[in-house]
Amino acid sequence: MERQIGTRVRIAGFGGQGVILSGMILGRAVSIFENKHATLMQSFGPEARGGACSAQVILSDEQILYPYVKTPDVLVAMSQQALRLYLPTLRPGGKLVYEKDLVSLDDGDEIPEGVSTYGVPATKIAEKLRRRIVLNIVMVGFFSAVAPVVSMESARKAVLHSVPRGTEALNGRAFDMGYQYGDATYGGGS
Amino acid sequence: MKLGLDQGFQGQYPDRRVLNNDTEVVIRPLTPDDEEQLLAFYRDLPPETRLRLRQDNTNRKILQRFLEEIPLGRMVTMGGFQPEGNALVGECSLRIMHHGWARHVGELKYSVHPRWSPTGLGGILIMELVEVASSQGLDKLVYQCLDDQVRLKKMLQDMGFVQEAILRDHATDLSGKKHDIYIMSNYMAELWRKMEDMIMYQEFPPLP
Repeated sequence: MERQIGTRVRIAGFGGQGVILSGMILGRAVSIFENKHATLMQSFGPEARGGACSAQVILSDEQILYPYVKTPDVLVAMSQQALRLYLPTLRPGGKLVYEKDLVSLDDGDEIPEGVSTYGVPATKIAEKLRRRIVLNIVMVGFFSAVAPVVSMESARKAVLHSVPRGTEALNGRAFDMGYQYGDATYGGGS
Repeated sequence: MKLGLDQGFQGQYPDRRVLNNDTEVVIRPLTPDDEEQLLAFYRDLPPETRLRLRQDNTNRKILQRFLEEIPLGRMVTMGGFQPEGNALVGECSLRIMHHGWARHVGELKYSVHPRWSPTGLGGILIMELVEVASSQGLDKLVYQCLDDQVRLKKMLQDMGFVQEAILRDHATDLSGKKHDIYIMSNYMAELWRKMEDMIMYQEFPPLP
């Protein structure tokens, strides 16, 4: 049986959406900027771009001995396929963070009991910045607002340390817009 | 009025932004109707800042020539205004060639009042125009800065500009002192390709 350590997060979507980078940023935020512990496991389908892709992240105050996430506390779904696949594994009472325009909650998928849902139009926000590729950074900003297992400051720093030099300003803005959307819409989550 | 912006861009201004010091600023493109505000902005700059201006924008005729470029689509100028009183506190302009062998290149320059320079306003104005340039299909941006503009150079580097050349003793400031010019360049498409490559490499690492 999986031992309950820290906060277990699964981020899932299509390949090419920046799923793994998002997981890496969360792990980096906690382990480097908050001096805690984090693990990252990744899996992806055999398909090329557009195939399924997921990252399992554990963020914890104590050492993590088992890095696999079977029943996440937080599921970040960036595609309908990802939601369908991983929603049944979400812990009752957990959090579902999803991309509003890519994921519909009215598609017959049963949400586990007590799950709080947080939607963000991350693609639209990224398009407003004219770089769809920053969709994942918008999601990370939104995540840090509604699932405060990592502070906004640490997550933002981790973003700026993880993206290519020269793209920091726009990625920082993408993060801020995601965070502000989460903060304004959900009042910082719970 | 034509502002050198596509319609998608025009619709998003004026835009309010929060600066590093938690004050708000209104960002919008400048038009020739902003002549008085622009003149007041340049005339209010302290002498040591004015020394480094590429041209004497406190001269109304020079400023009018600059503003005439806007409706012709050869210049896009973004201004930062104080929400109260509507005073201009910084501007950044993008010169677009449209023809000739440098038609894929845009040239940026900016001025922010020193009272506002630690607020990040300059970076915001430059970023706006980097995105305008990208939407207009420009591949490369250049910025000419003087040898002693160290903070400006660092800010440009943080935005992906790299030093491409140095022109020795190529500029004479308004006091008559000679300066080297650093040509800073930003190859925009390449920069974002790096981000895409990083994402793809992580999600689909090459097979061993």
